[in-house]
Amino acid sequence: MSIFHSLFYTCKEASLQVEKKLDDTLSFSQKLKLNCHLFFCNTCKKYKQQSILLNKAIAHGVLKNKANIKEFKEKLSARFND
Amino acid sequence: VTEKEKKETINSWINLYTSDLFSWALYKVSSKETTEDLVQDTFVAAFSGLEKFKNNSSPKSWLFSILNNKIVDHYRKTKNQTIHFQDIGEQLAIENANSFFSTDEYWVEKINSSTWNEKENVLDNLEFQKVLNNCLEKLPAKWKDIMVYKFLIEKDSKEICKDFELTSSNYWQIIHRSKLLLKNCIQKNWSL
Repeated sequence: MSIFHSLFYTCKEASLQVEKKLDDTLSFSQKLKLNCHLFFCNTCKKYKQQSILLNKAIAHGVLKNKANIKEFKEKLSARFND
Repeated sequence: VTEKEKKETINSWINLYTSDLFSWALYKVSSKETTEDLVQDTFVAAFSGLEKFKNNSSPKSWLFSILNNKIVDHYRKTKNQTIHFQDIGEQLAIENANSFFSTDEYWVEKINSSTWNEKENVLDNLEFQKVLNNCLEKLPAKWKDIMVYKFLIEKDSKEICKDFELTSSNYWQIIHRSKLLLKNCIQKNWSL
């Protein structure tokens, strides 16, 4: 079990590593181990695809909600200009 | 540093960071007036404390730490947040997220059929954004904060951990669990 475990991620570990990979915080050997798992595991592959899309969708939604603050900015600048 | 230089620094920061600071504060306090006050107070505090700013941290991080303190103060003044209930919510959410895996940590349900990731144009689909927003609302408040913060502020994970006082492993677990719950929620509520 322990040798098996040191070579292969479980699905829980692999999907967690996917999140780190999307943030670019995996070492080379971790990436290798993850890719190995993804090669054999369709559900984790799917997890990764959906996770990438979710990241895009959340960023998209958050950016779209950015308020129009031009006026407020000008008010702020004026405060520090006189 | 002269007064004029200080003003120039603050003005360039106003230009660069107001939008992000405003969005975050608005998300946290929900009122436009309060948001404007908090962001303005942040720049006033930054101006008078400019000597304390060290160039080894980014201005954006520094301004956000000031703003976050102002938000905490604001809540302290207006109401006592019921942290107790949030904790129960978080415990439930953890159990929920864990339930996707068997005891030996493999998926309980395998995905074979096509799922929503293959559907086109979900990003610009208003219905999808609505479902996603509803699903975000169902996350424990702290998790939702972290997810929104992560994408709004575009800081690296180390800085986010610092801002929320989380260990790195704690942070990644929250991201992982939030994603699991979001996926499941979208799966249930989204269909073309």
